[in-house]
Amino acid sequence: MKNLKTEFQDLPEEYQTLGGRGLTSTIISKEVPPTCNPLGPHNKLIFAPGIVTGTKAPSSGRISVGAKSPLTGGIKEANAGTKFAQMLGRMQIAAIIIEGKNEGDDYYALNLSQDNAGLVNVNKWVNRGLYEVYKEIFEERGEHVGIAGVGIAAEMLAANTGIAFNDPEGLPSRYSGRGGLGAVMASKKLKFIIIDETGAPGVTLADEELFKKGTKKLLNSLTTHDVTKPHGALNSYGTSVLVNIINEARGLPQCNFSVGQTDEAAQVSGEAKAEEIKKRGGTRPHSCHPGCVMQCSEVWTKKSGKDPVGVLEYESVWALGPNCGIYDLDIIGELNRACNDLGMDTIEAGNTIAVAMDGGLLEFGDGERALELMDEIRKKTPLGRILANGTEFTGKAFGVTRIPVVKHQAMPAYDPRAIKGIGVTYATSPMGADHTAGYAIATEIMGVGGEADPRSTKKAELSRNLQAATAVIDSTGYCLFTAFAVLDIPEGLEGMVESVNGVLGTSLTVDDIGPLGMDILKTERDFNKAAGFTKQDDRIPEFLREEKFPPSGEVFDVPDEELDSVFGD
Amino acid sequence: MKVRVKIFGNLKDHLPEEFLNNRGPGIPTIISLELNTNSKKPYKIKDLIEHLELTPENLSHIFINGVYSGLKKNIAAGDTIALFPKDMALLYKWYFKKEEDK
Repeated sequence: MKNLKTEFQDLPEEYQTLGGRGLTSTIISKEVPPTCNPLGPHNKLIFAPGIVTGTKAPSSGRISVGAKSPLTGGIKEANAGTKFAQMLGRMQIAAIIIEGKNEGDDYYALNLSQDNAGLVNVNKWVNRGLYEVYKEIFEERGEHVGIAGVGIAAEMLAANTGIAFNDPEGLPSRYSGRGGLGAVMASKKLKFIIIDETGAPGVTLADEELFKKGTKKLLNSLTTHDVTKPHGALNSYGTSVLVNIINEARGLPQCNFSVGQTDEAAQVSGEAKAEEIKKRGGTRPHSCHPGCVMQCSEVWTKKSGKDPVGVLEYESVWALGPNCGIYDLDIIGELNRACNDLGMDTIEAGNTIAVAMDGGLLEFGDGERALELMDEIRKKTPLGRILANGTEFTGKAFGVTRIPVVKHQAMPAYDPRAIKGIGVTYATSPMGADHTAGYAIATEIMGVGGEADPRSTKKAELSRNLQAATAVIDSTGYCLFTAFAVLDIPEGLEGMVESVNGVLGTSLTVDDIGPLGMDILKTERDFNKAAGFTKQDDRIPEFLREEKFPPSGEVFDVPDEELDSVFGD
Repeated sequence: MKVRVKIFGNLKDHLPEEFLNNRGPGIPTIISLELNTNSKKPYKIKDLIEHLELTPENLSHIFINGVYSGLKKNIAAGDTIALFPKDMALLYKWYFKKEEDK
């Protein structure tokens, strides 16, 4: 970005079989000095579609964005589902690397088409909400383009800033949200990437027969499994189906991790939301990218059925809702809209408001005041700048000691005291507190068959296997939710591996998933070590070990030695 | 004995009408039940499922007072039992072992 130059390069031989997270983390580990300032000229921002992304493989429109994180100070990969990813795949672009830093005051957009790339001044789109700006970009450049962009919060180089991709309606609602990657992009003076796939050749398949055979098996498993099939739970209720499940398990953190179950939580559940969407005329089900068979997404609107927000995901509903003592879907919807508009991660933003509530800046449950705080960020006031820097920063500013973060990143919607296995993953993931790192893949995939006893504190093996499998899925371009089906239906998993072989011409087997995932994790952990992380960073905050979590009364009691044995390095 | 049963998702569509007569408003469907128990034999989840004219195939997660439970788990007076349908088998099953009684 320093001299506003762009160039195309052939993909080096050693990167030929990499995609998504495997590729972003490898490039960062090779090219970014681990001790660099994340907002300085030496950090690099990488966009990489998954290996099968852009093909007809079902539910595979995912993109990984990576850099050194200004929030955690370690390596970061943040993943999103968007047509933008599929377009890059079809253009045969394995990665976009943004490097250097422009020292001027102007902001730029990268225009990228099949044979051309160039940077243009976009100051007209600075200091404005992303809903309005995305509309203008589509009007100016045509409905067919794909957009990645950063918002007002990133212009302040704040640590809670994500990268917004357009959803099928053109709304800025699909986020690589976590870890402050928006600020990395803005620090380089890059505001948008606008891609036009006209003339794209499509993904080259090394073995078309095998690819077709594999995707057919995978499709069969996705369309027959109870969780992922049409009219299944994800399709009917979206990811918020988890609100009632986790609340019932006494593990839904509410009022800044002070209680795990309430009757009110059901008011913002997936079932309640689906009913309301039907009444007011939003869209449900809906897909985040074309070709998804699960279609867990939706379009939430105001009561009038107008002013679409986009999707309200489980983590967002929880963070901006129950964790703030807010049980009103309309307020949650407007808070989510504000996060999308300003370019912020909803998990970090919700936790930020919750610790501010704990610190007395506002009352728990005060949704109107929470919305006003979003305007402080929009106006770039000193208070807004504090809030935009996330949960830990805000907690410290308001004298709060109950700050639910690991590696400076706020926790998602599962309390580690109630679900200890997820707690172990929060503690040890190279990404900081991250639910997706060990989301849904069972021990069965890895052929370990470990028992998952709720009272047992032996979680290291489970967490390690979950993290490794997730790292592989995040590299293929498949949505993590495909795991629900392929876990229970072995042909589905085989099909997934065959489809990857069909694209790459490799001969991977299901048994390779574990070692491949461990390689990616090692690359990421080595980067973090070189950046200064030690095992003392793989820890859960003290209050979660000491404060009994009502109503179950549990604490997080997994010993430090067990956490250290996850990776044993 | 009296118990409270919370029915989630589309599971209510599988319940006979008689059980839904005294349901509360909103989500989930909450019904109060008076169960006929035999003091010699513990009343188990599987007995409740049968009483509700459901089958284990209709269900995924079962919680008794927030504890992830299997079909053999005993039910006591005053318990709250949460029943989730088959298609809501997300996440939880991987992290927890079902509690059972003999």
